[in-house]
Parts: sequence; structure tokens; C-alpha cells
Amino acid sequence: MIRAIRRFPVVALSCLLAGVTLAACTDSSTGQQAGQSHAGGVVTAAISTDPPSLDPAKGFDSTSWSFIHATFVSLLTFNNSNDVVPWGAATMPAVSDQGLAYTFKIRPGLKFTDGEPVTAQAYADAIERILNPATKSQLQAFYEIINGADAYVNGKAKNVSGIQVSGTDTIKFTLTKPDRTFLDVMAIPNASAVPPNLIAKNSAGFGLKPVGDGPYIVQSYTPGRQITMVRNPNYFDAKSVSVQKISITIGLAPQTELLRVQNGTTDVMMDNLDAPSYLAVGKNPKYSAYLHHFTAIADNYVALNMQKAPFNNKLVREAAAYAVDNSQIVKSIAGMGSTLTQILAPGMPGFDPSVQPIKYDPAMAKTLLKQAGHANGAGLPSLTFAVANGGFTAGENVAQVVQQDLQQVGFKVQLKVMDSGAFLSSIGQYPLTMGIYGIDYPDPYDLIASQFACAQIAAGNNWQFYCNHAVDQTLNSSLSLSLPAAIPVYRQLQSQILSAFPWIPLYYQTLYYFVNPKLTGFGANALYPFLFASWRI
Amino acid sequence: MSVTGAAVPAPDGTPSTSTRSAEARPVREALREVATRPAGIAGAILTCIVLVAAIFAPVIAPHSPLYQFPDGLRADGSPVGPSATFLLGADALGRDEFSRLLWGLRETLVVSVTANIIAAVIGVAVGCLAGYYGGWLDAVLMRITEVLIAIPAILLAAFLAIVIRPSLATLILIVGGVSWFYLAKIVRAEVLSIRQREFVSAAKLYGAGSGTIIFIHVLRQVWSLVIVYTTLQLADTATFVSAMSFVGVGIQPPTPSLGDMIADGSHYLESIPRLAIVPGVALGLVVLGFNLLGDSLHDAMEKHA
Repeated sequence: MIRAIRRFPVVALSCLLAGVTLAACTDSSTGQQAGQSHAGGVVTAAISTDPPSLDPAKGFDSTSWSFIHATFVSLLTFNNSNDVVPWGAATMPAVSDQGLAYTFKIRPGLKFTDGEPVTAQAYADAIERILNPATKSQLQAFYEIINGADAYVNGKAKNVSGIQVSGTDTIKFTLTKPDRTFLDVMAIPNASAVPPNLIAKNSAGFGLKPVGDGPYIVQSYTPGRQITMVRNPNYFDAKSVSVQKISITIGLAPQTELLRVQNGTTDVMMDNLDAPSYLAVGKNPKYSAYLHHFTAIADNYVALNMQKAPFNNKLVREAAAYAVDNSQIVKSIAGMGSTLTQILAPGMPGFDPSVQPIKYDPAMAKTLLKQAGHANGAGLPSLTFAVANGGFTAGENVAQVVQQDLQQVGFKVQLKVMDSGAFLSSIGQYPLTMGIYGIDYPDPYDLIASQFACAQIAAGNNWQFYCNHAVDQTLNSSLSLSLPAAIPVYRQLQSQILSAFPWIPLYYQTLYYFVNPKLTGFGANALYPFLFASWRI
Repeated sequence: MSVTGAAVPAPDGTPSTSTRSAEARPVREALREVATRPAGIAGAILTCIVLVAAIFAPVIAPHSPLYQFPDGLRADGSPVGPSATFLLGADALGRDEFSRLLWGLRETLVVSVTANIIAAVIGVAVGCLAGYYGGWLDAVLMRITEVLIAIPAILLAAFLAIVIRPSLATLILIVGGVSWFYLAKIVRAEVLSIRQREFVSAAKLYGAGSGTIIFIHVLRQVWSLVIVYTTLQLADTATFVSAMSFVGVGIQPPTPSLGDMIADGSHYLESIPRLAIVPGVALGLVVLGFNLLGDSLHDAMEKHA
């Protein structure tokens, strides 16, 4: 079953949202040299907008996940090598019934910050809450693999029959079919226990006053102003958490955040550097110790609507792909990226470094257009290219580069820059759409199925409107394979998909963060840009 | 000649030649006055430079404002600086900044001037109707005007721009549509006074209709005021158009506009400040020129009225 859901691209990776007020910036580490950290201390940070949600049932972007990961404990989690390891579970689950049943034992001693014990029932309730249509969770499809989920979602059952709780510390999930990625979806922050009594009182408002059992407690949250988190002394591994308090100001422009970190009034700029900021500080030796970077496991591309003319013609799609100069595009983002060669991004299991990018060849593009009956662009309609604004400045600039390249081979392209709400509502209306899809979990199935499965068209994730039922069948059957066995399958699938030229490939983005060097253990990675629990100051 | 000494209009209400000459004299004298004032001269020169640059942008600009030069960006993605090819350097996408400045000036002025004309037409129409007819029409029109004045123009314009598909034409209509309010009130006040004058009464006696009186007599009295106000308003409109582009609801990329260039350039203040400073100075000169000219014209008209 196809479960992955696209997160809105900008939100997924660029820390576009979230904000925190600047609490009184008490002394964070006077006189401390970088590398000499000590327990305690206060870290100040700034971010331009609020995290979309602090509720485990709703947060579905990397910023929200960072906060949820800091305040709740999921049964499993990912370590820094992206391997699944136990966390709220005492050990990895026992797998039985030929891969259909997963039995977890809950770690003893887990408690919510309101004193309520974390039990197996709390985890069961949390997953059912995600599946509950009333919650309107974007994560619902991730857990529909559980037996009985369909009946529950359709209102035919009061509970999900495939979730069985035994005692206070045992929970068993039974699936409809073997699915290798089930452990991954139990490792994302959304699979965290939430206090049943608080949820019963106020499920809708839980995100504003989250109560968890993780390394940090949300001490206060004023949307648009401030978030303060303090170390949770009752977290089962509290001694591994160093920073006592994290004060985050919400609502500052990224340029202001940068200035504040430069002058020392703020420790962490939570928005990744855009091209102008990177040009200002990226090559300055004075700031070399401030920079942290990682390659986002995400595809940046221009989706070609395969159901609308002229891109229902493969030759025209191929022409568009050859027309665009990726090297110029990478330049336009100040070199913070590399040319996209395939669906499986670097860092994703299955990434094949031998795959070469599509060569920039405007002459070939013109030849292909001629073969398609559009010599020099004759007969091609004017194409609207939908682009989201709202802080994703790379999108608008990159769109202009793409526009010029397409126009030079004969396409007529008009940009339509929209705010994020209008942009998402417009998916499917226009022949060209600026797209980005970021990793949900480190399994190749995620990136391929989310963007190219037929069912993802209706789900609003398949912006290319690519649909090949044979590909879908292969994707479905791949879930029963182990990852090493599945990788060759995914490589072949991506080659098959890309041979249809469903998109104009752009780049894999390298995200840069600007952090005062007195803070160590910044620990940003592709899944969580902010590993708060690993920070030291 | 009538007993009051005023020239007798023709039976259709058309004023006599001597009346027309008398009405034009203060304007000519005011213009001569402006030409003797340093501020007026400076304003006129600046305005002329800006208008010439904008009108002849297609001829003066060395490059297309839209073309992204592959060598306009260095290997690290930073735009190249001023050179023989790029007089003011390149922008963040490798386009010639000088050419974009000229075309941006042109776009901004086209929108500003056209929108101002539209605003003037609407404002004069509303003001004349309200002032001449008075009564319930005056009350309704002025209450509507006051409500619209209470709404911040940029919010109203931004809302309209989001609701209506943005294009140059809709932008002009939107800016013109939110810029007539104060002119309407000023014209109405003037018309309230004008309708009491003897030549209006005389025209009515001779059978001239309301339309003829408004177009022939009333407008003739207010047009100099409208010219002064519109000239002064050009500066505000240019700033307003730039502000709309700055917040992303004005002229759409890749078409250059001063506001958009300032907005984009503001992100590079720390690394490449010229990207914001150059269009900012250009906008400042536009505003300064129109303001100086408008102020001088206003002072001179008051003196010779």
C-alpha cells in the first residue's frame, strides 16, 4: 500500500516556518571556549516563523519534527547513521508471523511531564489518533498498513484491531502485509505516545501546550513570539542532555537572525542560509567555525504535468529537460547544491553515484521539439510556471533561470509566483510547477512512491501526474524485500521512471546553518536539522 | 460686457475669449515663476532626466533587462561587479543591473503616471459631481470616499492584487483605484465654491446644462489645482508602486521594477550592497524630482491665483 505523503516542499526543508520570541538572553557561556562545554547553560536561537505544529499527530515537516523529537519519545528512532534503534521501546520489536506482527516492550520508567506514566496504551492511542479522520493528520496514510486501520478510518470499527495492548508495557502491531518500512514509520517523531487524559480534554489545542516525555519540556509557547524549552529532569536519559534552557525568538527576518549571531546576541540561526547570506559569510574565514552543513535528502525539480499539453508528449518533456543548464542553476543558489541526477538523493540508500545528469544541450532540445512538431516553438501554448514564494527565494530565482533556458529553445513561459496556500491549491492546474520533495524516512521507497505512485496523484503528492501501474505493482511488492535486496529494484524503477522525463531535474540542496561556535553538538542531519538534545554549550 | 464686468458667455455657455485668456494667465505666470526658483529648476531637471531615461530605455539600455548572462555570475554564484560589459555590475541572476534599472524606471513610471491619470479622472469626476450637485449625492460620495480613506491603501491594494490576477493593466487599475480619494475631497471643496460664482449663474441663465457647466466652467477652474496635486502625487504613487513590488504583489518577475530590485537587493546588503543602493537611489531621485517640481508649482500657483 502506498502511504507516503508529500510535505509542502519549503516547509519540509527550509525552516520556513516557526518562530520564537527572544526571552531574556541570560548568560549562556561567558568565557567559554568552543569545545569546552558543560552541563547546563542557556542557548538562544531565532527562527523566522512558527513550527507548523508541536503536536505529534500533526507536525509533518523537518522543523516540527525537530521540536517533537525533543519533547516526545517515539517507540523507535533514527541514530545519526539513519539506522532504526529502540528508544521508547526497550529493544527492537520481536517480528513474527512472517513479518506481519511486531511486538514492542515499552521501556520501564517512562513518564509524561504531568506525572502520568507512559504505557503501551498511550502509544496505541497515539497511533489511533493519527488514523482518526477527526484529527485530520497528514500522517494517516503512513499507518494504514496496520490491520483494521481501514475499518477504523471508515467508521466501521471503534478501534484499530491490528493494535493490541497487553498489560502496561506490551503493544503488538499486526500488518495487512509484510512491509519493511513499518519500522521506519514507527521511528518518525509522530509515532510518539501522548498523554491520553490531556488529549481527551483538548486534542485540537494540544500543539500549543504539548506535554511529552522527551528530553525537553515546552515551558512556554507564544505563537509568533517565542518558544522556551527547558531540560526535562524526568527524561529517562536526562544525564545525556546538557543544555538547561533553549530560548527561541520567533518572527525575525533571516538577515536579522544572521546579524544577531554575528554580533553574539543569539547563538543559533535556525533558518538555513539563503544565497545572499551565504555569499556574505560563507567564504569569510572569520565565520568558518560558524558554519554547519549537510546535503538535504531531497529532490528539487520542475514538475512537468504529464496530463496536460504540451507535456503529455514525451518528446516535449525530453526537450524541456535538455534545455535547462543545471550548472547555472547551482550558481544561482550560490553553489549550495549539486546537480540532481536521480530520484534517490545522496544519503538515501540506493543512491547511485554512477548515474550521470542530463547534459545541457539546447540544440538537442530544439531537435526534439522539431520532432514533436514544434519547430522553434511553433504551436506551443504559453505555459504558466507556478512558483511558491514566502521566503523560498531560491525558488523564484531558480524559476527565472529555468524560464530563460526554456524560452531560448522555443517555449513561452510566464511565471506565476504565489503564496504557499495559493500554490498548494493550484497543484495540477499548471503545466510547470516548481517542486521539492524531502525525505520522510531513509528508505528509497519513500522518495520514489511518494512522488511517482498513481495513488499519490489523488493524494496531491505526485505533481508530475506520472502513473504507471506496472511501476506501482513493483513498488508494492518491493516492500516485502529486505533493503539490500530492494535497492537494485529501486534503481531499476527510477531509471524506468526517469526515462519518461517526468521532470526537469534541478539540484540537491546543501543546507548551511550559522551557529556560534561556543555551541557544540549542533548535530543537524537530513531528518532533524535541530537535534536539541545533543547541543552543548 | 455684463453689468458685473464679467465677459458675457455665448448662449451655449462657452466663455468668451477674454475669459479664457484671463484664466490661463495665472498658470503661465506660475510656470514662469517655477523656472526662476532653484528648487523648481532642480525638480524640472531631475524629472526630465528620469523621464528621458525611462522613455528612451529601449535605446539607452545596452542589454536586455531579462537576459541572464552565463558570465554574469562568478563560479561561486556571486554577481560580477561593474565592468565595461556591466556598467553597474550584474544582479543575482547575472542580468545587467544598468539595463534593469532603466527598464525598471520605465515600468515604475508607466504604472505611476497612468495610475495617476486614472486617479485624477476618478477623483475629479467624484469631486465635481459631489461638489456641484450637493445634497444626497454629495453625502453618499463623500461617505464612501471617507470609508475608503480609512482603509490603509497598501492593504487594500495588496488584497485586490491577490484577488485579481496580476498583470500590468490590473496593477495600474488597482493603484489608480486607491489613489483618488484625497483629490476627490479637494476638488469637491473647490467646486462647492465655484458653483456659487456669477459666471456659473450666468451660464445657467443662458440655458447651459449641468454637463456643459461642469465641463466648460467648473473643470476650467480646477484643472490647475489638479495638475499641481497630480504632480505632487506622482512621487507618492511611484513609491506606492515600488512598495507593492517590494511586498510581492506588484510587477511580476522577471519584469524589472524599482521596488522588486530594492526588495531583492535588500537580501544582499551585507555582501553586495549596490544591488539595493542603486535602485534605491534611483527611486529617491524620482521622488525628489517630482516633489521639488510639484512643490514649486504649488507655491507659484498660490502666489498667482
